[in-house]
Amino acid sequence: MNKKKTLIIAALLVFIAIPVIIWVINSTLQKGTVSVETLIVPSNATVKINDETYSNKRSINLKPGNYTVVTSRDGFETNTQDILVADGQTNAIIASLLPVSEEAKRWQENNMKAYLELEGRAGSIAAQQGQEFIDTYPITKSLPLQKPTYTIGYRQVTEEGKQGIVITINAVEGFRESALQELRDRDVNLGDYTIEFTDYRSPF
Amino acid sequence: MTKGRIISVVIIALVVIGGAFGISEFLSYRDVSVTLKQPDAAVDIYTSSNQKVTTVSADEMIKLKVGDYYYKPVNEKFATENVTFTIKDTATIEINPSFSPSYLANLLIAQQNDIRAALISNYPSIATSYIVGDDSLSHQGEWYSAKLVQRVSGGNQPDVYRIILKKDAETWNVAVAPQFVIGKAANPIIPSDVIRKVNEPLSNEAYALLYPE
Repeated sequence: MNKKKTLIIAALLVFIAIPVIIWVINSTLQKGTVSVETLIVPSNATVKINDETYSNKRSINLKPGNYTVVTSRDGFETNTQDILVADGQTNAIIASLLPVSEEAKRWQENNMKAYLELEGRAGSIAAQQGQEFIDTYPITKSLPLQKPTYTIGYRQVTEEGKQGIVITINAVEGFRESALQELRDRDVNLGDYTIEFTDYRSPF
Repeated sequence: MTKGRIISVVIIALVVIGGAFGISEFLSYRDVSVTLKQPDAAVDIYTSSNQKVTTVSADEMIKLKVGDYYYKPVNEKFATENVTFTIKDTATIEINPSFSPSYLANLLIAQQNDIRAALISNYPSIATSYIVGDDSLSHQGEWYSAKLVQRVSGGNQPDVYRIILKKDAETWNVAVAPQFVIGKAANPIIPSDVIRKVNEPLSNEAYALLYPE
């Protein structure tokens, strides 16, 4: 009886321990990586990211940074795109491969639903990314801003795997401080941003 | 089970629980080495729930429980702002409070000639074409920030440049060249409070210098 009890307890422990060990190993391997959703039609296309090849993956864990992604499948046009993977934002690889061969064209005709679903999902991801961008940089919602003596705009930049913005100001001499005040009035902490003045040469 | 046995089990359980609690309490304390970067910077140390723990007036070792704390200078030479710190694994604290605004203001008066000389030697046009406004020292008087307001005529609007100097080995050097706005990303070594202050709008006092009555 005791032996049976011991065996049951040991089996239970093993049953609990194995998933825990797998989870710990997995977490360690994926530490510092970000999950990138893959939305690809045909879904069994091959995805090549910086010499690493993946297939049939719903998501791929990548470290934050810039990547060149090549998606291909026999009979379809190859898709090449540069993506930025960053922590704290929605990351996705979206590729809709167009058919070239007759066989691929037939495949597309039979799987039109998959293309339409991808289009819908890509649209909602783009909307989500747009909202995340506005949440991170609320001032972009008010830009570009045009006043008689200055205009304020912005451009997106990528530095060290992080997405950011540079605020650009084009102001008439003597009105640069007014442009900065416009930003302060909109709760912009000026030091947190890179602000460039265009059409200007420092007198110093 | 007899009554005596039950009492024994309860006593043993209480002893074990009490012992575990005692050990955990003992292990949560750290020997903390406190270093005063300035000899007259005595501070009171408080827990995050505002309970005063001790006063430190010289380099010493103290015992602090793992957790969040803050210190506040007691000498009026220093700013009375709370400086937070956490006791976790590291057990060394360097106490280096900023000088108080009034002390810094007096220090600025004493340094004014050296600073002006540094400004003009680096940017000679400051002497003739700009008014230096909203200038101040920060921290222990080693950071100087100011706004350079363009001299304009006929009621024109001036451009305002911001500049930061740092004092190293008794010499004032340009830390950030004049520019309309100073960003943290491009100037990682400049304390963020110095950047925040210099980026503030031009004060009325500085405008008054530009348009004296």
